[in-house]
Amino acid sequence: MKGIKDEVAIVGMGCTQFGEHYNKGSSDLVYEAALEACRDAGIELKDIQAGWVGTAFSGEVGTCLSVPLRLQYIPVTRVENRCATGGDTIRNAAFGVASGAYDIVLALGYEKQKDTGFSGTSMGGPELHPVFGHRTALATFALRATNYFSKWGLTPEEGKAMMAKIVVKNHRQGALAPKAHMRKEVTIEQVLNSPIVCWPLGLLDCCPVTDGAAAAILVKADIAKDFRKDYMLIKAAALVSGPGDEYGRDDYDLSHFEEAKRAAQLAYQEAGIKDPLEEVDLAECHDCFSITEAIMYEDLGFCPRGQAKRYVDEGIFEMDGKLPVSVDGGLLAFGHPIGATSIREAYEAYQQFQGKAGKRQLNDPRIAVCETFGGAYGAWSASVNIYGKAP
Amino acid sequence: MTGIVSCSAYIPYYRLNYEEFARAWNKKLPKGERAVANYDEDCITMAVEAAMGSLNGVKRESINGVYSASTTAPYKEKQSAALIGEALDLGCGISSMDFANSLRSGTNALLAAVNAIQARPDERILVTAADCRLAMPQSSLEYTFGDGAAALILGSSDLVAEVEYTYSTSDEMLDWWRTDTDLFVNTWEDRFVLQQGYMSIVPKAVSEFIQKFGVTLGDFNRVAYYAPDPRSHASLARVLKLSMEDQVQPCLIGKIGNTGCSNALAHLIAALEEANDGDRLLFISYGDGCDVLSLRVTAKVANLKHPNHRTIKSSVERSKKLSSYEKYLAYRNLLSVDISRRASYPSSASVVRRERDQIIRYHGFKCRNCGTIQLPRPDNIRVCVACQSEDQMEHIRLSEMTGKITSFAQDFVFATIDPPAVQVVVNFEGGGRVLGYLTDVDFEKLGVGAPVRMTFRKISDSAGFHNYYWKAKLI
Repeated sequence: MKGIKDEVAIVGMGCTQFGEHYNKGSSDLVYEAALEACRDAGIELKDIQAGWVGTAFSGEVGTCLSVPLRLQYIPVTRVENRCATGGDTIRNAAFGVASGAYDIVLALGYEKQKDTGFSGTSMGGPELHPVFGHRTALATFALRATNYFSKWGLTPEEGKAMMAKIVVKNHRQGALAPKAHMRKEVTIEQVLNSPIVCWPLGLLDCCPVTDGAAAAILVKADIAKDFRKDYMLIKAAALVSGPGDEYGRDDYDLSHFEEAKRAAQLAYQEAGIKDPLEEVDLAECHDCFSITEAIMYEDLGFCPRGQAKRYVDEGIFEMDGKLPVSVDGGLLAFGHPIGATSIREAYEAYQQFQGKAGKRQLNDPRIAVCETFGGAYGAWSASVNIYGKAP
Repeated sequence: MTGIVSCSAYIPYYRLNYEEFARAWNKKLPKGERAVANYDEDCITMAVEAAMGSLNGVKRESINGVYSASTTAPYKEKQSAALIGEALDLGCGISSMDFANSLRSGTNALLAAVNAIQARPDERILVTAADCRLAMPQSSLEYTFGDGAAALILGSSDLVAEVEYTYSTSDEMLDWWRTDTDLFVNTWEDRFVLQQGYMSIVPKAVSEFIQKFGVTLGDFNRVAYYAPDPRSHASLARVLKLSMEDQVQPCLIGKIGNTGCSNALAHLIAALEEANDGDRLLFISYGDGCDVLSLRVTAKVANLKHPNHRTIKSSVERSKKLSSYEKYLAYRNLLSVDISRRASYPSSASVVRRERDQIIRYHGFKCRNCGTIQLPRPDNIRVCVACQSEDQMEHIRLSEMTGKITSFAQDFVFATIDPPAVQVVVNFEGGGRVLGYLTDVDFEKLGVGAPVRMTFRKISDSAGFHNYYWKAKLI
């Protein structure tokens, strides 16, 4: 498998304010992100030759992109891979360009979640199943925490303290990101005292439910400099959909996510990265719940199994640490409009490479790992895209 | 000889103390408790639980019929017995029948089974009786009613007790009744109901039984019988001149309540669990007449004393206090409770039919190639999760497996009338892992490594029918 390392570039990006947009519908979010990306790339909507639109449940059919933007009879594919949707949207758009089929394409991800009438995410999926039709994301991840604590010998207090440090870090970063949903710092005490929503997770251990959209304009790498000097290269676009080992095998280790681990391995291979902790400058990962980020440190190869607590305590993943993770606040603070999230992660990498990350700016970052995964207990689709600064 | 091969009674986990009724209604009440079925239980789930207990040591292939009885069946048109048989993973070539509408329906089913065995002695029939009757809030019936089930397997070999004589009377009486549109059981004036009903009809039937078969009450080691409440239970003993100390099977109503059509059978089962080889039992049930049976206990009654037999004694003792009267009202849908707009409970009759082996019979799959046990997810497994062999799956029954909790979550956000919803991952002894829900939760015992077994429960009423599946419960 050859991969597409260095074949595709992102030359423009847009991202809406993430938050509770009772006054904005899907069309508004799509329009705002797309227009910002086009203006950033110096192109018009009519220049787009093909589109990929990622949304978990806020739109069906490619027309959920082509109608709000009045795209004139071009191909649009609607992409869905639950929380990995955005990464997969970029990935498929990249293939459209790498294949030579299209020159300029739009990858956009969005989600409009605040019309449901209740807080939190809905239960269940599309299946008409009397049993498996109902579930919550909360319980799915909460039991990962219970299992992680038990396996690695953490008391509930130690486990919750580890998770709380991640929450504090991400909210501190989110406070530095003007487009983030939650822009207020929190303390360890506040996190530990937040109401238990699904033991051992408290309210602040959970990402908020957010409306938002993010978009990217992709072109072949060899013409990227015609659009701008500070473009972003796609170094790897990996996706793994699992076979259900987590559900079917009685020896599956619940303190990790195999799909995320394998997607990361594939991405590192494609990008030619051998030692992630040394070679990666920043990472955005799927901190839908605080425990998920802790597990991602291990699945993404940033720290050995069972060592997340130690690395957290040593500040390895803080903004001034060895490998900053969730520099813009991650899902916990930036928010999680499902289809948009992976593209928002790319947006942070893009701004960091361009030196436009404001108070979050890292010192000369060149390689960013962006990961998300989604699904339900038992099997997941995990997306790991790796981006690099233009040479 | 026709008789009882095995039996087991099931009393739900929760108890509501009379103190709670006294608090709710500002009454003075005696001491006592009643059993309250969990919100995920109904007459079908309770019957299945009791029947699982009775199947201990009995081959499923030997069961030729299921007769199920209830006055509060969850369907007015749809057979409970067929569903109970399916949940127990019995074959389809059996005779399933529902008995309904009377406090005597449990023993009606029992006698019908006795007659059926006498006609076809090679057969065995499972009889279940379960009730979850509702009494009007603030009434005195409210705290004397109880929820519960009983199951007996009838046959003509390997009997723990042989049926000697049977006798029935039909004696119509408006004492307790519920019309087709009533939610609650109605009753007439107490004094009329007891004097003219129970205390008149039962002694008459017993006297006719004695005359017909030339026995005396002194011949019986134990007498077990239906009573609507503890006081009537004692009054009948006095009228029949039975010895409360030696002969009368103690009344369970003060501990679990009057469990409707399973009440009499529960007392019979309690008597059998304490009986010895050679004992003679007299058994009386009541409701628009009487069913009277006498039984002779055999040496095989020792089976009911085996440590792994689920006894009514253990069911009565293994209980947890229900926190409030309001919870009881919520469990029985007598109070509308806010469970949030989050609920999305899809279902489909064609899915339930297609996956009935997985959903109702709780079959998992075992790979013929590598032996890995795997749970059905998403629906039918065609490719093995471990070795990726194609179409090598065979069905295995998982409903009797025990296991340990691998991980759990306590979800306060899940739409349920009784938060938190406890989700568990269970590893079964012998292989296989399941994601499910824990019911009858004892939060003090909940932990990684806690042992569990499976129980048949109601999940929802989505799509306009009752949806059932299996949950775990702590052992």
